Amino acid sequence: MARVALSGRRATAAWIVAASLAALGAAPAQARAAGDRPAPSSPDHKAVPEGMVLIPAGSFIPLYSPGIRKAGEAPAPVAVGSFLLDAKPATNGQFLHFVQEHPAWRRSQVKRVFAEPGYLTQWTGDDTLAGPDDGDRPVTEVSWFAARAYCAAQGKSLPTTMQWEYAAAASASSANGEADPAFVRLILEWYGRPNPEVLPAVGRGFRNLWGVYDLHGLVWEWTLDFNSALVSGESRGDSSLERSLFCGGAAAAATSFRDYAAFMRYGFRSSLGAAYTIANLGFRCAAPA
Amino acid sequence: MMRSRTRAMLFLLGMLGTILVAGTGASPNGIAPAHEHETLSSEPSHDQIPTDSIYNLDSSWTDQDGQRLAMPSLRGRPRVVAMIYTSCKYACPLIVDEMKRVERELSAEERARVGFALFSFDPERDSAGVLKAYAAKRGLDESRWRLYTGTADAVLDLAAVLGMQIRKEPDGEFSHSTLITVLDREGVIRYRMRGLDQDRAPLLAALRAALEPSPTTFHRGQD
Repeated sequence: MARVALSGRRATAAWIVAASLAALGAAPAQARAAGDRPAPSSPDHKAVPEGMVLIPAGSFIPLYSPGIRKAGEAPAPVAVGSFLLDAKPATNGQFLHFVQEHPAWRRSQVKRVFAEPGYLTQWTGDDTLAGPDDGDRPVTEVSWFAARAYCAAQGKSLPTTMQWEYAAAASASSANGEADPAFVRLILEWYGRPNPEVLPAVGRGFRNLWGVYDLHGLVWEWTLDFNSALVSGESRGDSSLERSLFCGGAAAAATSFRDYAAFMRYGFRSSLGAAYTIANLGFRCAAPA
Repeated sequence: MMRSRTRAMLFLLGMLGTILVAGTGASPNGIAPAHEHETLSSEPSHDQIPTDSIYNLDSSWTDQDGQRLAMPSLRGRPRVVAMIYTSCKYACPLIVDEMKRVERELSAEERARVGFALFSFDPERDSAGVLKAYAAKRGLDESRWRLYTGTADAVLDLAAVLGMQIRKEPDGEFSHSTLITVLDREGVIRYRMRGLDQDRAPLLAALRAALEPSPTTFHRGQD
């Protein structure tokens, strides 16, 4: 059921992207930049846990910066401290292990307030995946609550939106891929492609400068504060918000082609509820460096 | 429960809304700490809670008298709840005003059976003492008005179940939804009033329905 709705939504998204690509005269992406470059050697003295990657501290200009700024004022770079990020999205196999250890998160046990009925419906049972290859595929149809519980069980957390966007800004060769048209096209091409019938395994797609796989091109991902982007119409009479809406409008008017990809992500996140389960929405975990 | 078509609509609305949105800040709490609170799942009353009740949250809060609250202990009476912070200059005082209007419009008999709860999303500033002073300043009858402060994790979880959007700004203030929620005796959401200057009638109707003696039909966790 969710799958059907999703293809409708993705079709819409695909249409928007295709229209934008056409409008901008963009050529199709040449190739997937799946470099085999080793991860940059960690400057940190602490060992990086297996399966995680150190994202060094830095700054970037997110599509939407926090705070209020005057119309026309350039957005300030946002500093992001170093943190650890899972190199790959969580898989069905890993999530299966989690629900076996934490029965409250089994499909048959989960509280409705924490996950809608679509929860893990791609599995054939409480602890049965649909096929032998599904173990390495990204887990989807998981709510924010379930994703959060999975990460907490490992002493991790979901990445914040800022952390995710910062990590995802890196192309294969640069911490900030916005100037790389091939990178931008790679992302937009994915947004424009319909959902595959079966998701590919994790760790086979785009690998960025930091050695993080699949931030683009596989599934959308939950962030800890997905609900921190306030949507218009929800807060009439909130003067504080009115001000930010006004200024936000000014910022969005300056949307560039690069911003378009981030625009899609922010738009998607702001449409989510914490109990939603969606066929192409997964997650990965983060931890303090 | 949101169904698929509604969600697709929401996505589009979200896309439109995003044009007007100014930014996502860093999370209010960053990396979630390990759960330090006691688990309530072993309590016998716990599994009687309907599966769609927000009282399934096992995050705990502290009230204005410094008493620790376990969410399931809020069962028993319908409640009007909102999330605010006490140093809020703009919307929060209006949210509390609105809740007081709801309180006034109830009959004395109804009022005695309804609870009002304010959950702070500013744990750094809103200590139990600050909440106590706020209750006095706002003239809240503390026999029915309870104010709670919790961990950053508790805030995140409650905001998520209520559908409340909160963003901490660099200046320490918050941008947030204005949301008043009616919960039935079991903590199931019966009505959401989004925005201020709304018609109070549907909220009052939902609250009065929740006061009706016939208990809600419970559906258990297994499905």
